[in-house]
Amino acid sequence: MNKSNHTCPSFEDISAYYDREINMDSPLAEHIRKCPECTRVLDSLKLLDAKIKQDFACTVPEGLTDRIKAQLAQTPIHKTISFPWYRLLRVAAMITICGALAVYMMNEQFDVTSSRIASGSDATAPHAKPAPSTHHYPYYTSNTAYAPGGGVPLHQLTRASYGESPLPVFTNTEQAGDNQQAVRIGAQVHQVWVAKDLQEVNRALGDILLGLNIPPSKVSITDSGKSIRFIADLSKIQLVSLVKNCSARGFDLITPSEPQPEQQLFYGKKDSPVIYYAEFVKDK
Amino acid sequence: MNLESSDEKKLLSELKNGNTAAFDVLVDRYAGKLYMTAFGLLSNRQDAEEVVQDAFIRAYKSIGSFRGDASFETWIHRIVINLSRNKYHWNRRRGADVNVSLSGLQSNINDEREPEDINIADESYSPETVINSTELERNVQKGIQELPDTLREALLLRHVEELPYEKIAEALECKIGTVKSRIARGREMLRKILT
Repeated sequence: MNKSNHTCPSFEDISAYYDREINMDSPLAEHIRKCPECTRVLDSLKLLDAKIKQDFACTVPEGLTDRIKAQLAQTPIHKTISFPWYRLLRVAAMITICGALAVYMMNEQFDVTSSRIASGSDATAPHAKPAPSTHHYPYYTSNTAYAPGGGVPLHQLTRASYGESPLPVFTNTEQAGDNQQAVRIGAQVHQVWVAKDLQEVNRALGDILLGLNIPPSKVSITDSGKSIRFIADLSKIQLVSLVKNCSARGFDLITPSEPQPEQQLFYGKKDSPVIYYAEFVKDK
Repeated sequence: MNLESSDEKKLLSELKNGNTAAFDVLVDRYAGKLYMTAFGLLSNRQDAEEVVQDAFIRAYKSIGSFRGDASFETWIHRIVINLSRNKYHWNRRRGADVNVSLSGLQSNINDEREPEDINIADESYSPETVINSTELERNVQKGIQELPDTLREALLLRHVEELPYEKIAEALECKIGTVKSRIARGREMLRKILT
């Protein structure tokens, strides 16, 4: 801790002691209580605490709760729908069959897309399969409201491109300097987004996935009409980019789980796998 | 039934059974604390009130899908923190280009080099740099706004709401050790900003 006494605990430990978040009967706590240097640090923390409390002291505005309640009175509540178990089983069986068919069809379609992108041409790609007789093939989504056969038609998607901005950085150091703390992304990430228009979510996800070259086999999208559930098998850098791009498309992330759109510095390897679960709900 | 004295679990059960008055009790119980959190993060009364109202409305709309893995208090705290974070950054970058690069990302993905490391500053401190009361006369509020999001949020939840580390960890969805580190680093950085 300091030059005069090498046995002093770290500032982090003294800080935790000040918050009574360490065992107050431990030798560490006893040292902090008795050591003049540690006591000085504790006094400074006390001053800081008082000043923060003073600066951030505020009174709750009069009528705040009444105004919230008045708004709530005009807000519909979303209720979960419960099925009898046998109906649920039937629905699950149907979804499984439809899902398997959809994955098969999307894989076929993605092969065509990749060839077109690689060649820069629609018709002359050497590996391109014959164009389907209809252009209304589903892409990533199963909502039949958007195209015959379901989903945003592939030809309506535009590969996402967002100009210049700093790239996210992945580092093997969790604490990187005064202003930098690397964000740790877990193996699974759950997030909830709010969007004004779910059709726009389908379109944006299609654009972004196309831009990132993420094949449909890595993605599952379920559109209930009221919300869109998105599950994807991604690398961490793909997840970071997807989150940033969803935010740039105007969707509102309401869960604080990381990564957040504004974060730039991440801990670990950019290619590490992550399973991403997202729910896009409609803002009414 | 006296809803005011009911615990959170009972209130949520009532709410899921259609008794919307139970949500009013949750508003009475948490709105003040949440307002203080939002105000701490945004330093603006109007923004803070908007965030708290928005958070309750979002929670109300999606209460049917609330699984109860965390407490309602933790859940609504997370929503407020996240909305505050979004508003804070929106306020800061208002009018600025918020585009992000996809084309650059592709080259980054394909780059086989080792990830770029950032130099770590020496985090140790000396007694000579311990803050004193004169330094604290400067604007602490302004100093806190200069901290990175993660440190500012942890610091305010501790100092303003006086939440224990465990609750802060739940609200910020991180480990208790991370909270301990963020609070200490936030205090350290605040000291440096103020000197």
